[in-house]
Order: sequence, then C-alpha cells, then structure tokens
Amino acid sequence: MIRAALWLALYLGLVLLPPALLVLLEPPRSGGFAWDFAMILGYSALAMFGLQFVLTARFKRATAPFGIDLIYALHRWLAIAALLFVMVHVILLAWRYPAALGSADPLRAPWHMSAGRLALILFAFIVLSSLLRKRLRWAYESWRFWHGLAATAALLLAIVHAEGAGHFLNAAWKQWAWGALAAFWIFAIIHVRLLRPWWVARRPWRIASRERLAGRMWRLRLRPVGHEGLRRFEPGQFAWLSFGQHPIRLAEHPFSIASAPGSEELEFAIKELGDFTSTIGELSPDTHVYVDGPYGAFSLDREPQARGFVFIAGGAGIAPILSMIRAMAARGDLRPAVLFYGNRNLQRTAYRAELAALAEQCRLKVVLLLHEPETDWEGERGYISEGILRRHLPEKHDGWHAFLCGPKPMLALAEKSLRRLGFPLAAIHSEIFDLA
Amino acid sequence: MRERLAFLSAVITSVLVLAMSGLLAVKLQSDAQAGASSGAQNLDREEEARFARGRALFFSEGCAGCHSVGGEGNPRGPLDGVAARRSREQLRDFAFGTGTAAQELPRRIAVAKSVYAELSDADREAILAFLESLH
Repeated sequence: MIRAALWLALYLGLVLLPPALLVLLEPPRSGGFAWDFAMILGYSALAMFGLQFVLTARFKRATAPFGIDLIYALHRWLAIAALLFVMVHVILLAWRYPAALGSADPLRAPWHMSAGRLALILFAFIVLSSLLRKRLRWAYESWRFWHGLAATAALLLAIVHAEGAGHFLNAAWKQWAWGALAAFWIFAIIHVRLLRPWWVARRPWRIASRERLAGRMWRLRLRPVGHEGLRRFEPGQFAWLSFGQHPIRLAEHPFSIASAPGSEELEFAIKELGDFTSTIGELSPDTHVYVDGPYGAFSLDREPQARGFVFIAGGAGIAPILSMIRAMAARGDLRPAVLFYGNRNLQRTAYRAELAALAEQCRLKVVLLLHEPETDWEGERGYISEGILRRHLPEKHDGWHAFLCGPKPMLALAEKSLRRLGFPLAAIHSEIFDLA
Repeated sequence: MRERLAFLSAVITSVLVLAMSGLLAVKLQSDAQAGASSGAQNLDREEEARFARGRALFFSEGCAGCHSVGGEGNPRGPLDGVAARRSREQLRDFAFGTGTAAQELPRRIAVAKSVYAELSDADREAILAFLESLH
C-alpha cells in the first residue's frame, strides 16, 4: 500500500515537475489566469502522454506493487484524462484568445501549431479507437500496431508543438531540461518497441507437448532453447506469449502460468475462444515461442500471513490457481485451502485427476461446480453462491484470503458472496484479464 | 474490483493534476502582479480602422501567436503602447528581426521572425504602420 502510494506520488511528480519548474524558477511573464492555466495544463497533459509509454513499458520494478493488469487499466483511464486536459487547453485558448491560435489552415499556420493540431487529432483517434476496438471488431494485432505507431507520432508532434510554441521556455536551461524530458519518453518508446522485444527474442522456447485437456482447453508445455528458462516467478503470475514469429511483430497474448515455479518447463492452459487461440491445435511442435514474463500481482506469495485460502476458478481461470496449489504441494505448505472450480459439465472440467491427487498431498478440498451437469452428477450445481461457499468453507475463516480467476460475471458473483461471508475487500484478490 | 481501483486511482491522480495546474497558474498570477506595471493603452478606434490592413496582417501572419494588441492574441507579449517606447527604426528591426534586433533577440525568436522577410514591402509597411499606431 505504502509502496503503491509512493509510485503514485512519483507519477504525479513526473507529470507536474515540468510545468512547476517552468513556472516557479525564473517565472515567465504571466498572460492572465486563463492563459497560464491553459499552458500549464498543456504541459501536464503532454507529460501524462509521455508517461503512457512508461506505464506500458513493462518495467518490472514499477509494475510489481500494483500488478500489471492495474497498470494497463490505469493507462486507459489516464489517457482519457490527458485527452480531456488537452481539450481544455485548446478550448480555453479558442474561447479567450482566438487570435493567438491563428489560422487552422496548415498552409498558413505556423508549423508548430499544425503539429499541435495533428497531435490532438491523433490522440483523440488513439483513445477512441482503443475504447471502441471491440465494438468496431478491429483485430487486436492490427489495432496494437496502429496504436503504437499513432501514439509515437502523436507524442513527437506534441513535443514539437510545445518546443515550437516555446511558451514558458524563457531560459536556455528550460529548453535543455525540456529536451531531456522528451528524451526520457522517447527512451520509454524505444524500450517497449525495440529493447524488450530484442531481449525476449534472444530467449526462444519450443513447444515440448500440446494436448487437449477437456472441451476446448489445451495444455501447452514449453521448453527453453539454449537458456535456463523461467524458474523464478510467483505462482499465479502470467506471461505474454508470441508464437512462431519474431516477437517484434507484436502479436503477443497474456496467459497465466499453470506450472509451479522451479521447473525447466512452463505449462499454460489455453482455451480456444474464437480468436488467435483457435489456432493453438494447429501449431507445429517445433514452433518457436517467445515468453515475456513474469508479470502480475495475483499470487498467494503476496499474502504470506494468510491462514488459509479460498480459490474460485472458472474454465481456463484454473491456470493461475493450479500454479498456486502446485506450489503449495511442492513447498509442503499445509495451510488449509478450498477450491471451487466451475465448468459446464464434468467432461469440460480440466485437470480432474491432477486436482484429486493434489487434494491428497495438501490440505485441499476440491469442490466441482457444474452448471449443465451430466444426469448422474451428485455434486454442486449452478454458479458460485453464498450457500455453496457456506457448505464447504470451515466455520472459522479469519485470516483466509480468496483468489478469484474466471469470467467477469463469475468474479462479480464470487466477490459478492465472499463479502456476505465477511471476507474483507483486502482479502479478495482477482485480476483484470482483459488487458487489450 | 480492480477495475474500480484503477478508475479511482486515475480519478484521484487527474484531480490532483488539475488542482496543481490551477495552483501553479495562480502562483504565476501573484508573481506577475507583484512586479508588474503594464502601461497598456486602449486602441483608438479610428486608428484601428485606418490601419486595418496592418492589423489584419498582424493576425493573419502569426504575430498574434506571440503578441497581443488590445487583449487579442497571446497576452504574454502585449504590444499596446509599443510605439511610445520604440522609434520607427526600432519597431522595424524588432518586428522583422533585422539590424541590431537580430543580435538582441533570443535566437529562437529571431529565427521565428525571419519568415517575415518573405512578406512584400507593402505588407511590411502596413504592419509597421499598425505598430506605430499603438501609442
């Protein structure tokens, strides 16, 4: 919590430091409140846009206290805020000082004003296209390509705009400081688009095995090629995978790791969902796979003081939970745990044998939940509810922590039921799966 | 739940950015008021009409991007009363970045003004006439 607050303070500092330095040291001539506010807001919004690249640069140290899913959600909301700020910047000027904006005709306007206008159009395009991507049925890979390209162009144009307009840049050192800040943002872009893909590309993996688990669920095992692999991660974390091509092509997808830390091979449980995942069965065994990870804060390792665990999984959401349970078994962790695992029917329920074996090894109780069960099913039916939780959890569950992974409606139901049972919010952990 | 947390963090961050930006603008105001004595004069309407062409050029050629006259344009570079402070020659040099002004002006501003060398003589005279009216 404190670390998270410190990182938020750092973010605020990075946004407000540039305008604060420009205004407080060697104060420039004031242009009245509306003018100054519009300018400062412009600088703040530009700093926010620059930091957007830093947020998604997947710097592990910075994302660790939050979980990268939260960082991506923040990235989305802050983009909307920054766009609103730029619009206030423009509207204030257009309303109070229309003459200062000059002609909108790019043939007549100064180049830095045209750069600013173009940057605003691009920013608006980026934000709208991201919010509407699914409704527009724009394929993730193509959207991501244009998102990165437009964002880079927009940031460079906005830097040119501020530099060209030069308001508040009334001293040589201010121009230097400004240039250094722009260089920092550009480094973040280079890190995301070039350095990280390059690093990931140097550590290829190969498909060691691939089998259908149940229904549309596949088990994918990856083996490192010429490197030591990924042995240290927190059970429950995930990685970005890209298949059969150079990772610089950007077609990567986040998947939770299903295996426990410490082994050479990594296991993933992947469900065919009609998009890229449908091709999982067609991958040839010698396809190269690139793994960028681990990421995420969804792990029992983050709650070392927990006295017991409730795991609630739906479908492919079993992957991170399985990683945690396997890790508990491997470590000889004998804290009590109850797993509620929801699926359509028994045939669609993956990892049945393995979960039964783990239940023998640990103090784990496995409760299967089927919402369209086979006729002879005698276990729990329907969806997770307060009643089902009560039936299987011990009376006393003080200090227990709950880990939830699955479809959104299931998460909502599970959260509500757990709250009714008296689980505090801080003891309920989930992850935003939908990062794009 | 995490969606809400992200949303709340973003809202808090944004409100703080907005508030701090406002405070910085207020701070700049108070600094300016402490040490300012702007001798801005209002424009004579008749003169404004007489030098309409120069005035039109002032706004169409981008002068207003950095300067204001009678509250129009960039308020941080007011030119109201400039003719009272500068001779005609000085006005010409500072307006178009020529002569001694080329050395006196900061480099970036001199570069910005160098584009006005491309204006016709008549246009430049009109702008100058407009500036001269700003007593």
